[in-house]
Amino acid sequence: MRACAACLRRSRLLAEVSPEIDRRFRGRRVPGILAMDDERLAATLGRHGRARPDALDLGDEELLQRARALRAAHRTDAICRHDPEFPARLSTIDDPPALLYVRDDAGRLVDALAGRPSVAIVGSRQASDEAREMARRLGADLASAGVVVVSGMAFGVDAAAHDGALTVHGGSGRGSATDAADGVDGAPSGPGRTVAILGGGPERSSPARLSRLYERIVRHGVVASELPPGTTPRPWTFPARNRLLAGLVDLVVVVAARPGSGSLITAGLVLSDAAGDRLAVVPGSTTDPRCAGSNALLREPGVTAVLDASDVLARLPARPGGDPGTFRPSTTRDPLAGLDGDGLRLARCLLDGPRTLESIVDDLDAVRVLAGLAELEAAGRLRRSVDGALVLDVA
Amino acid sequence: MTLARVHTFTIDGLEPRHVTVEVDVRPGLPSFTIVGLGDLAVREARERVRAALGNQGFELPQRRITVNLAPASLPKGGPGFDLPIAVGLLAATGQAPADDLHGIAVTGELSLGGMLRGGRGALVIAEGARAAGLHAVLLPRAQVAEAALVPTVAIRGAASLRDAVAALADRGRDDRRPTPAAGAGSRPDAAPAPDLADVRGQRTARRALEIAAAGSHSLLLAGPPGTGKTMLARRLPGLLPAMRTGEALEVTRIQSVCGLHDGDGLVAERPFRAPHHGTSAAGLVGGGSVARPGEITLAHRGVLFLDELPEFRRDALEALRQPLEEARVRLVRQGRTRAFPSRTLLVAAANPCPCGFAGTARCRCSDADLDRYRRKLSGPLLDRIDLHVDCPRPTADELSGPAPASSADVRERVEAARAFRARRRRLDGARPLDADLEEAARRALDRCYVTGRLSARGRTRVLRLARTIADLEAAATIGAAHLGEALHLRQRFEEPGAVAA
Repeated sequence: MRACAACLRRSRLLAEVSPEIDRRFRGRRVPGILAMDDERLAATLGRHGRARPDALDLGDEELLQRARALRAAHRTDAICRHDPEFPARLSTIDDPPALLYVRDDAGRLVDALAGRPSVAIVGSRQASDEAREMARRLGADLASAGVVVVSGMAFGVDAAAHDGALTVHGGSGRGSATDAADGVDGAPSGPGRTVAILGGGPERSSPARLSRLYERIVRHGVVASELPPGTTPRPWTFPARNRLLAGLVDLVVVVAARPGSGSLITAGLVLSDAAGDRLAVVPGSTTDPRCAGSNALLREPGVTAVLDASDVLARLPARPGGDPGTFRPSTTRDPLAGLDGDGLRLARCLLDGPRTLESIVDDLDAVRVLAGLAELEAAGRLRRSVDGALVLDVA
Repeated sequence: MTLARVHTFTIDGLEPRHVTVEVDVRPGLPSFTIVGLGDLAVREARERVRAALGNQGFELPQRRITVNLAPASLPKGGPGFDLPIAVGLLAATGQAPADDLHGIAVTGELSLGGMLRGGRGALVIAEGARAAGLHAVLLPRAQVAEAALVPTVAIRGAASLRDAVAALADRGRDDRRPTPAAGAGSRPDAAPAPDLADVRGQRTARRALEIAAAGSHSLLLAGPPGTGKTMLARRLPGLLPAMRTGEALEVTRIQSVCGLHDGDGLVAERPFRAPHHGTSAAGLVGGGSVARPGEITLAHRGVLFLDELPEFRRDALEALRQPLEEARVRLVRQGRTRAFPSRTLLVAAANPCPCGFAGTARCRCSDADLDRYRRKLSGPLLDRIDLHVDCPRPTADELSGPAPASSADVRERVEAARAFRARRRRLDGARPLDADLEEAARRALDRCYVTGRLSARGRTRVLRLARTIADLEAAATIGAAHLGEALHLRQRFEEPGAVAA
């Protein structure tokens, strides 16, 4: 436990008034509120004669004791801004968090960020397959170059970025490009190259459907949250979480965002920086509304377009000791590696993008194509796009 | 003569039950009572009989009339008791010959004018009459063709009550037409069955239909609205081999009892049932206080099509599982178990996502929406579905292109495959499908299983599909290409990781 009583009180207060903030502000960002001190926050929200929040009147000893109980019950640790190892950058934002709860051990967060550049990859929950694939590649390539990949573990782009980073396990920095389906078996645990900041308490997966991803991040990365264990995510907690993403990292990369999406809140925070050069955007199709919000950011001064991980690495501050300029791009992995015979023939047909089985059968001998299909399926190298076309997966 | 007995039948589920209508006429205050667990239609028979007798020039005696439907413990329903009651009454009062009644079953509904209306279940009643050892059936003329499907029983049709009395006395009369034309049901006025050649594009789906028909595999069609999922499903019955006489009789019996049969001989086309997604569990599998067959029984020997599968009520889909598995529905009502046949081919259709535009920029469904949708889809029925085809929008070229293979061509291949399978089974006996795998196919299948891409159930299903595909090519063993196609067409919603991380 590396948190002081005052900061614990603050986080308890936030959890306690969370439903009230929700009622007042719905999903809007609430900068003023979070910058207020405890008494003012309580007074502002309690204007309508609500009872004074309990957290304000808890004694220091009581708070520490409860925090210890929480830690034991949920395997969550806490680190507050008064700890010398608290991420310094987070303390400098307008409405800094008092503390961060971290799954298992707060030291994991400190170790993960220590001496490494960090990048937030954010984007739409309803992203296209292409956007997800891009997020996954960026996550993997950046992690293999020694960059910490930070995101919000939402569906879509966030999840894909974490997933990509997890293909590179902490420590060696060498991409062991395994199937990434589980990463369970005997992979080294310890500080990893991805950090998930959740919109609810850190002790369980929100969204619950991503619990497998959550467990992988817990094992090989870091899961953190501003809110104490047991806090339900609410519409206001996501924009609030986004301010932590923006505050924590050296660079924010937006992969795909509709106009008005939450990712643009994160982007807006970075754009309003004094320096104004901490934002990068992956360009998307100009006709796809799912990219319209992120594409529009490209018009802003100081925003970089990201075509692959090297664009990101070029924007990161050079760190002593590390040379964050090298990565093993997943894009150059040979998609035909490990294939032969009919499987290889079919894989070649898919190199230029998804195709339907029918269109391939028109060009080639059906029996060989189908035999190749069996081989590729067995090797786990085939996916279906939503309309049923075959997609070749890189091994 | 003051007591008359008339044989008739009531239908209990799909089975005929012998009922004796006893009519007793004796002195007393004029009254007309029907006892014997009749439903409302039976109680109202009194009024119809009274009016019909008068209008046909018969006399209703001003005496105490008691009608008993025996056995008294069996609930009876429907208007088919009108004619037996009227005939019994006439016999009891000497207006009709009574001694002709003991070998003949009588059924029919009367109009107030005394004309006879066709009703349901003539085939079942004629079967009941034969089983009960009666020599003839007297029924409304509209039902003669249907009842004539039962051999060895004389069928007498009547248009009116007076007609019926005459037919009773006419010993040896049989109205069955010389021979119900062979291949009955090839009626010139029937609308032609929809043909597979009408569907442009959708090659994968057409192929899947062929495999489904050849191996009786259930099928899920997924695709945006308007791509032809319903069209495809409607064409599946036409790809199945023509029904054998026994099968056709089963179907005719069901349709007759449920009032779907127009009374014109044997049903020739396999049934296609597409119940609305609001249908209740009882509507799908059968039910009600007197246990009526549900949609799955109406689709017996044919196709049950569930459009918008995820919109169906979960309990309704849940109820379909066991009948699909056992090809039979068991219902317990009033202490009795009834079994309805339900050997049907299941075809389901679903949009790829709640909005229907998955994969395009118009789709606004989040992963959470998709996930919820797929889970709704995946629950109760999915483990009964073998084939899974995506139906994308056909291209413009496909729409204007040449017509693909017709239903008749495909049906020929399906019949050949079924014949091949039958011969294979006869020669090989029952042996595990695994034994048919060629080496390359076995390696690929094992690898899919070992890596967890296929569950044990998924593996069995793929293997069965591959076997059917090999049968279509008259191949003794399952090659890698057969397996590849099976893997391509397998049902995937159930697999681990069907929803992306």
